[in-house]
Amino acid sequence: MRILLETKSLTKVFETGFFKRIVVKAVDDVSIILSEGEIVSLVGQSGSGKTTLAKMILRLLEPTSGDIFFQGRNVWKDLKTLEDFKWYWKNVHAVFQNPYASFNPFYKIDRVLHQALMLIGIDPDSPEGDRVIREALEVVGLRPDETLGKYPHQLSGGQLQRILISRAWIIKPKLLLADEPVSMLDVSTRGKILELFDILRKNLGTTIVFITHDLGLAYAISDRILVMYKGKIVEEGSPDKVILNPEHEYTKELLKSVPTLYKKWS
Amino acid sequence: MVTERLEVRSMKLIELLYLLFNNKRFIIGFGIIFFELILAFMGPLLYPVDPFDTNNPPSLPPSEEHPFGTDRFGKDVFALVVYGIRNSLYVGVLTGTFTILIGLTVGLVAGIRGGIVDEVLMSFTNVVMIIPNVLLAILILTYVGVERSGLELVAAVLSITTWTGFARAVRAQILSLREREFIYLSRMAGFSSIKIAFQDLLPHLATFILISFVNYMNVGINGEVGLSILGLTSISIVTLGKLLYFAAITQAFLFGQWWTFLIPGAILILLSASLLLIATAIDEVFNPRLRRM
Amino acid sequence: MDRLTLKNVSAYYRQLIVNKEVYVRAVDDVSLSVKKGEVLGLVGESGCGKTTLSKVMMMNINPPLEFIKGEVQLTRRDGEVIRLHKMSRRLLKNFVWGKNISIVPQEAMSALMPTLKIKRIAYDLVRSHDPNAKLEDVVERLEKRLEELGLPDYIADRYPFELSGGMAQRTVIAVATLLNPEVLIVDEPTSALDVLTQRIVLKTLADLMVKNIVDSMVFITHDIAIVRQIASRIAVMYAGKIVESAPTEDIIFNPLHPYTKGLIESITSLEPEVRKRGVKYIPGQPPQLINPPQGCRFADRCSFVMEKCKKEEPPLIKIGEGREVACWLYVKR
Repeated sequence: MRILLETKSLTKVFETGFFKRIVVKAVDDVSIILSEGEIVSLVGQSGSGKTTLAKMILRLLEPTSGDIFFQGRNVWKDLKTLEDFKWYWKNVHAVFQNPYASFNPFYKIDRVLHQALMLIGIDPDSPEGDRVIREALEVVGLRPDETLGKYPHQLSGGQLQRILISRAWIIKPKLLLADEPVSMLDVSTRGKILELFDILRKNLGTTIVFITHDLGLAYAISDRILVMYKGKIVEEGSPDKVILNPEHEYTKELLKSVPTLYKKWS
Repeated sequence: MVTERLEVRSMKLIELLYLLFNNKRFIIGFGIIFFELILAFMGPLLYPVDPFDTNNPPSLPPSEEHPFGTDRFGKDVFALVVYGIRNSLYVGVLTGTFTILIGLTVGLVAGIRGGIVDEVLMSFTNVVMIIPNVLLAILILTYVGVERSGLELVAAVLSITTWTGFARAVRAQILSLREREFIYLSRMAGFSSIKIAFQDLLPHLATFILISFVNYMNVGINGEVGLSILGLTSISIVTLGKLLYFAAITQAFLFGQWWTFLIPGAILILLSASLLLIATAIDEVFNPRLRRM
Repeated sequence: MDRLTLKNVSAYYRQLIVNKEVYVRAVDDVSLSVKKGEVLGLVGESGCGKTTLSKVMMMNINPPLEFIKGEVQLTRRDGEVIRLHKMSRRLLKNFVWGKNISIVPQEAMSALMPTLKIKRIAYDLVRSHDPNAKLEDVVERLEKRLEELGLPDYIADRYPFELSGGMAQRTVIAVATLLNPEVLIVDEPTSALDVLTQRIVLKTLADLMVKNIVDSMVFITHDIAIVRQIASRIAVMYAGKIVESAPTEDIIFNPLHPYTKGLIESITSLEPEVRKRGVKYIPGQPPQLINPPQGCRFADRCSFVMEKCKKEEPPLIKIGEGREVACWLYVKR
């Protein structure tokens, strides 16, 4: 498989405090490789730095040191103009955790899809734009006539999250970062969203990075799991290797604490 | 995950008006201001008396001919009040506008740009905050010349020190909005900072701007009264504050001419109170936490 | 023996839509009992009314929530039955809450007054029931309780912000059970915590039962895998109604109601059983509670739907020992 994105010794340090400088290494010397068409889970508890890492890859937060290479270009050093950024975001996009916060409540949900069309250079008001939007909504199992023209508060979290996936379908990025895309959703509707990510990968060959705190979820859907702890990647490998034969102490401890459905703890 | 969501959502205008007009505070506030506006704009038509005409007998108590009486110079108090409300409201609206414009610009730029720009702008804001506003007003107005300064200058002088609190509040709101997912999604669609400021951020601040505007109108109206009583505004422009100033220098209280200061004073208090009521009502209607079902 | 009994209770939210007032039927005709020595898991997804039901159990009704009908009874250890729905808010506050029934809310940290030390918070709680209580006695009692729950006793002298999330959650549990209430309600006690801390909090809750500090517990959650570790019985709630209640093992291994089945099958836990069956989901979404459908509220999403389901509401019927289900599939003709 070909390498799509690579991070080299990526580090992000946050400094706070006025009199006494408190230094927090949110991401500490992380080097990972993402290949084309794979589903990778980045697992870690809150504060492990997984979201910070995602923001740096998405070019939303500048790293303190280290580099990110996407198709041979240094994301933070080679890209300069808004056009460069647009090129990057056309190739690397995201779905976030909170579907309600992903929509500006003052606008109809059509807006996020229009933004996607503008990014790929289609006029949202053209018949072509309308066709693309309707097609994308149908892919995620929403009826366009019942969805378009609505405000975010009129739809459920699951529906909103599906609209965001249809946005990704329009943009067709090479890499999609999904930051806890189902953690705010009800258990009974999560499966549908997970299925959609799989459809995206199958049909478009999208690489998907699934950021989650839920080991069970990661185990169920991914080709590869990365475990993050205190800003470092501590464990890496196939789901079976990570879940059944963990090497790092933290992973072992984590696995012991994940509640099981069919077996009761002693 | 399961916490209740308290969120802003766009409301239809009719829904808003319904909520506003079901709010007691708003009805009272709106009623008073409506009455004063009618007085200010319809007054000259219904009561065509020249407020600068000094040919009336001086110091008349209210009568049929002069509903609010006349002052020591023989001017008709009712006509003066009608003009005074208009000019006072004008100062209020101008002060509100200036304050909002300065505060919004500083707050938005500081909040969006962040980093060094933020630090410089906020230090500047803090410096302005500690400037004594009355002292600055006296300096500017006496430098320009009291008689040459119009109401616009008065409003500007008042705004120059009042915008700081608003700017800080705007910046704080922007900082909390900046990390929201929908901002990231707009950025990733290739939107520029300015586009995001206008399309994504400003609507969230709209209510706050509206409430602040009404409150700063109040600051303007009362600030002008203060400056007038200090004798720092032109005597050829009639405002409610100027009427109080005239009553003060003619020692109306000593002579028991209550109509020359009690009436403008009462109208001023009503105006202030109605603006406060309106601001509170808007807050109540827009802020779901304060809304009573 | 029943500790807490709800009979046909309904509680609706009053909501304003444009200019019309409507009722959101968050809890609609629910009957439920919690027995002595039992941990009842109340499971449901967001918006199903489980948190509202917890408010009804306490009779902590605040506008816009309104208590429409029904009975809420609590049996004390001395055998006396208190009828909560007949009591005023002041009476409940002074004589019942904290003493006979207590709640640990979703966000523990916000339940603790940030400017007071833990011992002071505990003192205020005790004093609201016994105005003559002495601070030293309360502190002694609190330290004993903290020790029983495996917490260090210096916590009594700390401020809430000095505690970590899991520690704060367990402290709230200790304070809430200081007066040994008959019934404790815990609302999503672990959802804000990471898995390592989750386990410790569950242990603390289990200790409350083992050490007889509380008689019964109601554990409200959306996460079946968590509640199954502690609950002896699980009640599943959907769109304002209880659709099934049964002993935990029965719910997990042999769910009857199609909704419960769907819910169990959509869970992704780290088990071979789960990997084998894959991740499933229930299509569609719960109905609006402003105008709920006439028949069964799950009918739209159900794969076993019959003509009858859309017309008539299924009653909650008894099936076997301690099992109840509201589904036409199990009503014998």
